[in-house]
Parts: sequence; C-alpha cells; structure tokens
Amino acid sequence: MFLPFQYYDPGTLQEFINLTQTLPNYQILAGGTDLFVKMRNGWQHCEHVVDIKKIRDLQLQQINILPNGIELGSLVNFTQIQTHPLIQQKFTALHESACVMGCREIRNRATIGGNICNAASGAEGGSTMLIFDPIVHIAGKDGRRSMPLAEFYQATEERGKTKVGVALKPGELVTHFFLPFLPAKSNSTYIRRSRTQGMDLSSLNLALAIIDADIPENRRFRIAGGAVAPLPCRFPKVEEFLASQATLSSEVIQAAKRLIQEAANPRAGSKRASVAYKKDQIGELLEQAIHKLVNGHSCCC
Amino acid sequence: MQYQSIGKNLPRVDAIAKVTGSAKFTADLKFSRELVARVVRSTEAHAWIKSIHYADALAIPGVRGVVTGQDTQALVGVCIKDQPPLARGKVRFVGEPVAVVVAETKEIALQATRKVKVTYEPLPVLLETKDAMALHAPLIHDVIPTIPGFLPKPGTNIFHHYHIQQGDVETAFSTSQLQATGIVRWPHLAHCQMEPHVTIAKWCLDDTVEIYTSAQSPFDVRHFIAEAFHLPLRKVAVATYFLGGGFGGKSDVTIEPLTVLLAKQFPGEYIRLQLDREEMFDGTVVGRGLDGEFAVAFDRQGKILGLKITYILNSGGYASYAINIVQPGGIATSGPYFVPNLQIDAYGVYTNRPPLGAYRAYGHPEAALMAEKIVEVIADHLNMDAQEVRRRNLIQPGQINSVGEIIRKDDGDIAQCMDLVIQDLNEYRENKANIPGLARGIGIGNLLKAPGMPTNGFSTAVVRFNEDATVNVMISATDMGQGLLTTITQIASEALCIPVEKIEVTAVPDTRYTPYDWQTVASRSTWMVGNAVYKASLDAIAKLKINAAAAFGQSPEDMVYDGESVYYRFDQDRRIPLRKLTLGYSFSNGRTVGMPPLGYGAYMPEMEYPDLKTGQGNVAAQWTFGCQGVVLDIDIISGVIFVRMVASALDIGKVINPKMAKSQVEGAVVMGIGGTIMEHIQYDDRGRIRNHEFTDYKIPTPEDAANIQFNTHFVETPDHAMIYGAKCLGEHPIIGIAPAILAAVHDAIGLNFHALPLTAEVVRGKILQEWHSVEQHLQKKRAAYVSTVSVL
Repeated sequence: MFLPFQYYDPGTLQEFINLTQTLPNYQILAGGTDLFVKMRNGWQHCEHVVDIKKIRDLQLQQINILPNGIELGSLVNFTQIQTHPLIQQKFTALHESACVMGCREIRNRATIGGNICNAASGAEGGSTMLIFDPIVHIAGKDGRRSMPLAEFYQATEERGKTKVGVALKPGELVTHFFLPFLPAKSNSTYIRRSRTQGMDLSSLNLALAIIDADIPENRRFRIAGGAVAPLPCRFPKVEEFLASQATLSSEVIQAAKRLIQEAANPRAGSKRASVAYKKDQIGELLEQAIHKLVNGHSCCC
Repeated sequence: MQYQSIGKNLPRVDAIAKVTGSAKFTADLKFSRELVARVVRSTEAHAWIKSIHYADALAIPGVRGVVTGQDTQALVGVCIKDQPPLARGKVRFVGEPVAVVVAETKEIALQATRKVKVTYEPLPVLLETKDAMALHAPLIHDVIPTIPGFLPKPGTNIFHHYHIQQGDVETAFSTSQLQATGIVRWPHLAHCQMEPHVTIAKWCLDDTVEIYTSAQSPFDVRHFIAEAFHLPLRKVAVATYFLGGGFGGKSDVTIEPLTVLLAKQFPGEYIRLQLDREEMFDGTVVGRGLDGEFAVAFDRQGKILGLKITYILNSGGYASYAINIVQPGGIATSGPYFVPNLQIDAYGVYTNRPPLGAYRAYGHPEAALMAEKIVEVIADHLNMDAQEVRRRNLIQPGQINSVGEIIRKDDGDIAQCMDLVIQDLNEYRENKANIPGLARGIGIGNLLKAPGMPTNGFSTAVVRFNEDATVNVMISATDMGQGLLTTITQIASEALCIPVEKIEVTAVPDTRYTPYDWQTVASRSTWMVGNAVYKASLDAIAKLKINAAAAFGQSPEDMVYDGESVYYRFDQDRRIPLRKLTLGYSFSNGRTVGMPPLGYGAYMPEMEYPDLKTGQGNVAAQWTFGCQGVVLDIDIISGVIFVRMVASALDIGKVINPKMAKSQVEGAVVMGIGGTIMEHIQYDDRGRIRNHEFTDYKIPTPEDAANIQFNTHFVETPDHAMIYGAKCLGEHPIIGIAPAILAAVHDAIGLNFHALPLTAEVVRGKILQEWHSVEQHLQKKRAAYVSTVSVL
C-alpha cells in the first residue's frame, strides 16, 4: 500500500531543473515498474515523485540512428527495443534481453533509462548494454555531461555493505545512451537463467559480443554478467584470455569457464539462486553463448 | 442414455458477467460508513508478547481504534479450537495478528500500524517437525483441546495421531527378504488465488451480524462465527459473491472471526479487512508440508506384502484446519494398491510456521507422492518396469482398502486409465524426436481420492418456478472459477426437461435466503449439489402436478410433466402450460387452486467416523481413480525441467460438461507442475517467509503452460449414487503430477529425488554431485539423449 506522495510533471528540462532545486529529496519516475514496487513495499519512501515523461524538449522517447551508432532516449521502453529492426540486427543481445524482460505489460512501461538507473545487478538492460560500451548522456543544472556506462554504475562500501547506484547528481537526468555499432563481422547474444519460462527476473545472465569474428588474430570478446556481482559487470580477464587464443578449442572454453567462475562474485542469500549455482552457471552460460555465436546453435528450449 | 443438457459443452453461464467485469466479487461491494482494518502482524515465530504500545497510532487523525487480543476470549477452529482471532499472550508464527488498527482510510490505517510497537520475549523456534516432535521439545500449545474422534498426545506438539492397522505387518516384514525404505518431503506451498481474502462485517445494534466474505463456505463461516461469539445462527448472516479462486485456502474460516471481532468493537459500522498479497502468504493458511517415511516388504514378483508408513504434516502454529487433513492424507498413502499388511501412522504436528490448511486435494497429493514412490522403489530394486509393478498391485473390486472399505466396480477403472496414459506416452516418445542436449524421461503417477467431509455435511437445493415458467435454482455452494453454476444449470435443465436458457442458478449464496450447504470443498459439489438439485427438481415437478391435478379434479399420480406443460395421463389433450401452473392454477372466473411450486432437495451419502484403534470404517463416500503421465526433458547443463506432454485419464463417471472438465484438468496439471518444480515457501531460520510475493514465489506463467501438450481422457464408469453417474473431479488432476514428474526425472537421468521442488538448481546440483552415475545412465539410454557436440 502506498503512503501519500506529491507528484510533479515538469514539461521542459528547465522546469525539471527549477523544480528539483526546490525539493529536498525526490525520486525520478520513468516507467515506474521498479519505483512503485519499492514504494508500495515500503523499501523506499519518497514524498516527492518527479515524472520525466512529460518533458518535451529532450526527445527522451526516441530511438535515433546515427552513422556510427544508435541513440536510445532514456525513456525508450523495452517494447520499442524489442521491436526495432536495427536493434535486432546490430545489437542482437539487447534485442534478445528485451524479449525476455518482464512481461508484455512491463515491457510497455519499463524504460531503458530506468532499468539502468535502478542499478539492479540482474537487470536485463545491465549486462547487455555493457557489452556495447555505451556513453551515458546526462543533462542538469550544471549543463550537459557524458560518461561511459561502466563508470556511470557506482558501488560504494558503507559499513561493510556494498551500496550500488549510478553517478546521477540531484537536478540531473539521463537524456540518452549512445551505442556505437560493432564492427562488421561481429555479433552478440544474451542468455539468462530464470525460474519460469515466462515473467521472471534473471537468476543470472550473460551477454557476449564477439568482434571481428572472422580473423582469429583480431578477434575480441566482450563479456558481461548480471546477478553475479553487486552490479552488472564486464569480465576483462576472460575477454583478454579468449582474445589471446588462436582457436576456441574445448580446452580453451573450459579454461575460460573456470576464469569467469573465479571472477564471478555473487552475493550470498539470494532468493533466486545460490552462490554455487550462479558460479556454476555463469561458466555454462559463457559456453552456451560462444556456441551460439560461433556455431549458430541456439540453446535448447 | 440420451441426455438433453448433460454431456454438452454449455458455455459458462457466468462468462459474460466475468469478461465484461460486471460479475461481483466481495471486494467490489461498497457501503456507506465503512471503516478499514489493517493488521499488525507478529515479527516473531514463537514468543511471549510483553507489551503493545499504540498510543502513537491512536493519536493519528482518522484512526478510530486499535484492537488487541485483550479484547476477546474467543477461540476459533474448524474442529480443534486452538486459535484466537488475535494473539493473546503468545505468538506462534510470524504473521500472526497481534493488533489491528481501525481507521477511516486504508492510508491512515497503514500509517498507524507502523506506530504500533510490540515487544516480545523470544521462545525457542520450532520450524521442522523433527524438532517439534523431539523428546522434551518446547510446547507450542501447553494444552491441546481434546475432541471426539481425534487423538492428541498430551505433553507433546502432536495434536492428532491417526493410526491404521491391518493384517500382521510385523510378520510380513520378518518373513520377507526383499525390503526397501524411503522418505519424501514436500515443503509448504501457497495457494496463490488471484483474489485476495476480503471480509466486510457489521455488528448491528440489535446484535445481528452481517458478513460479506470471500469464503468457499458461507454456512460454515456462519457456524464458526455464531459459536465463537455466542450468537444464535439466525442472527448471523453470511453472503458470498464470486470467488477469484479458492483451492482450499478459503474453505473453513480464515479472516472472518477477526473481522467480526473488530465489528463488535465498532457496532453499526461496516469494517473492511482486505489482505494484500504478502498477507496472503503470512496471514491465511499454507498448503502441503509433508515429511514422510516408508518401509515396504515385497516379493520377487513385485507384489507388496507389507507396508509401514509415517506421514507427518508440518501444521504450523494452529491445528484448526490441518487436523482434518491428517486422516484423509493418511488413508490415501497406500495408494490405489492392495496391501495385505498395513500400518499407517499419520501425525499432525504443531510448528512455528503459518497454519496449514486445505490445499487442492487435501492430503492426497502428498499421499500419492509416497505411494508412487513406493512402487517406483520396488521396481528399482527388482529392475522391473515400474508400470508392471503398479499393475500387479492395483486394488481390485472386492478387495479392501486401507480403511477396510470394499472397493466397488463403480469406484473406477484404474487399469483402463493406466492403459490410456501409457499409450499416449509411448506415442509421444515414438513420434517426437529427442532434442540434443536434453535428457528425455517419461513417468506416471496413479491417483485416488475420496471427498472428505463430516458425516452430516449435507448439500441442499431449492428449485422455484417463476410466473413465466423460468426457474431459479438456489444453492449455497460457491463458484470460485470451477464452473459450478454451469454444471448445476445443466443438471437442473436435465432434471426439469427445460432448456438451460430458462434456468438461473444463484451466484450469491446468503445464509438468510439460500438453503444449507456444508462447504464447497472436496470436489464434491457437482456430485452432491447435483443430486440435491435433482431431488429438488422432482419435488417442484410434483408440486406442479398437484396444481394441475386440482385444476382437472384428478389425482396428482395421473399427471404427466413434460417440461412444457402438465397433462392428464389418460387424455393428452387435457394439458396446462407450465406458466399457468406457477401461481397455483386460476380458473376463468379467477378462483385459484394449488400454490406456487417450490421444490426442496437434499443429499448426503452414508458415511461413518473411523474406529480410533484400527482406523477402519466407511469413511469415504466414494473413490475416484485415475492415472497421469508426463514426458519431460531435462537440460543437463542448467538443470531446467521442460514438461512437454501430460496425459491424464480419470474415471470421473458421467462427464457433465466435457470442455469445462478438460479445462479443469489442464488447470490442475499446471498447478501441479508449479508445485513440483517451482514453488516453495522459503523461510529464514527465524520462521519469516522470505518470498511472500510473486517476484520470488514462482508459479507457472502462460509461457510455461503454452508449450505443454495436454492429452486428457475421461473414463465414464457411472457412479452408483449420483443420479447422472457423475463423480468428483476438481482436485484430482493435481494428484498424479508430482509422482509422475519424479518418476520421469528418474527415467531421464537415473537420479532419485525425495524432496520437492525440483528447481533447476536442485536438479543441476544433484547431477553434478552424482555425475558419474548420470553419465552411465545417459549412455545406457543413448537413444534418449543426444549430446551436443562441441567442435569449434
């Protein structure tokens, strides 16, 4: 049940800036699929809720195709991502993750900006966005700034507990994400484990991109995992190891699996999956993802 | 026999109301001067309440009061009265109501509950039955009320021990060389009805009580409320509307006594207590919760010689509901098999978890898990086909079951059910290729069930002809989505020989206006209410005949009713259309004879309580047999189970509405799959539920069900007692699912699991642990498992 709160819907960026300066604390409302759950459950109380969906001058709902990449407005929802032909073709992992994110109703509401800013470790948008090295564009009272997504995510230690969030200051909002195209002969995929075939959170997930797949010397890998660390994260050591290999023999893959299993650091006490299962499965997901991209096998089911 | 309405796929009579949103549910009711209640729940599983401070809550404007356990001495319970509506002195599970805020709005009530401060003095927490049954275990209840027909063990946490003794078990075991033992465990499940519990009550100033509630059983609610509050039954009015699912979780009483207690504190005002989803887990009843053990002695042919079973229900802090599950569950643990020497000990045990309640099939799925495990274990030992072991042990008409009842032919043809299922499984296996990377398995589970009820748990019905010769059928069984209104419409149509369009069955049972029905539970309503409606129809017809006889100046025996008119047997031209007989019969000069016809009918099968020493007696009104089988694939890498096909064959007698019956089966199958491979209530070590919402209590979604092929067969051996030969169905198709999945998993990867649920993590964990034997099994079954080749 909800405790009373004040709702605001600024119409321009300037109105947003002016408004948020007057509020001692507030929460940005995008799709609301995380925020309202938290508020209803009493995990997060906010007296002031600022809806950014009415802001007209930022094109927050738009997907723009540029010569070198794609711009996703922060309020682009998962149905838009799921159904966009170019995303399916060039950012396949993102498309695949959007297909299994929540359910239809959730995908119609939930936004990519909200998904990222909520900073949930297992978020479908987290690991998949990370492998495309996106730039986060921010606007606010001090003007505009941008930074790589990997830096936008922030984890801090507080009294022995890891606190996660994003580098958004009061009076700021994310306007869009810029995702550069992968080079030709590259491909990406997203696989997850979940407890049901339908609406469920990821128990864990993995996104993989293989870049310049045709020429082993040039071949590079980008690997990101979800729900295996406090935040969605890349696995640089595994990426480097795989890039340094001439062939993807089963020995190499076994070694890569061991590396990612060692690197994974899931928290204990998850209701979705144990540490042991996550560590076991992050390796299996990596193997399945490599198979899928190299052999074109899709995983079973 | 040729039927007009029975056996036809009549579309659901409530379909338009449901899809247009005009169907009324309890939460839709709005009253003036409504107050909202919100419960402060215990955060401790077992503790003394030291103090409750609520002055800060009272200070909030709009708060009308805070009620605590000090405000009542009432104890409620279906059979064992051990539960106060609000905790008094002690709490026995996390979620138990400790105080209630009554306020003008739900927002105010919520704010106020956060200002109620309760301090506790913790007691040892007993979550597992083995801890609660241990010698010198702390007592959750100091005194267990004794009631006729039940055997508590004073000085322990065992509130009921039901014992069955047949033949000479000890000799059977001492003379048999072949023996095996095993255990099974089923955790607590949640019913997950779509509609949360809601009760609205008003204590009127003349001491009548009005109750509107999302309950399966208005008359039972009336009974318990009247008893707890010392009211005459006539002063208690209980009305129920459409229910959004029950599954046993709304049978008996749940939140009604608490709401009435609040109403009594605020006389003249409507009090609404509406639970949210989390409270559905923490504050109603949970299901299953079995710890079972068995030892079986058998011969080389696989025939069971002797069986010893311990069946322990983890019943939570109160036994009010669970106590009634101990016996039917216990009875069914030997399955549809003949066991010459049998000993069953079924225990209901208090623990510090939420109270256990009825959950679709009342102990039978737990029992089937045990019984089917037993035949699988025998097959494993003898390296025999498990299906063959089942066949060799099937109980035959004329043999006696676990309680000494002689099985009749019309209890059902289980052998035919098995044949149908096995044929489907084989067909699927032959026609659908295995998928690389997945291990395929098939398995079956036999099932049986009897409707459990008190020996005077009547169903009754009233049939009234209206002035235009349409008919109102009044019953007090509830439609919770199972389609009862539709089947009863068909039965009334058949009995009255009038089209279904002319019949309206009450959707709003009200203890003031509709006739008695014990409860809408136990899959009994088509069978029992159907019989009552049939009898009421005959009674109404007889009264029409009396009216016609008076008109003709003849004897009622010479009147014939044909659904359109009543005519004189010896002269078919002397006939009166029905609408001219519905206000008596009026001659042309206005003189009226006879009276408006109202028919009444009641039905109760003959039953008795079992003997307490031997557990024997005619305790089951009838048995239904069936068989279910599954084909599944296991992803060796992730441990995920994909159920591909479920075949169900049930001998449910005459099928009243085939399409609805099939839907009922498919719904139960999916629910059964959820309870076997996904669902379990997770408790932390202090007894708090960690997953009391759908984010982490996972039930099957449409995507899970969409890829399952359902093959459903009905064998129609007519029931001897029901006029149209129909039997029970609602719960049964959930019973065979868990054992069939367990057997199929064993078939696929050779591993024996004894505890549910078989989540991916559990399956994968055991595969890794016992990889060597899994690998051997897969090689042996090469045909069923095609490995993915990793060549890159």
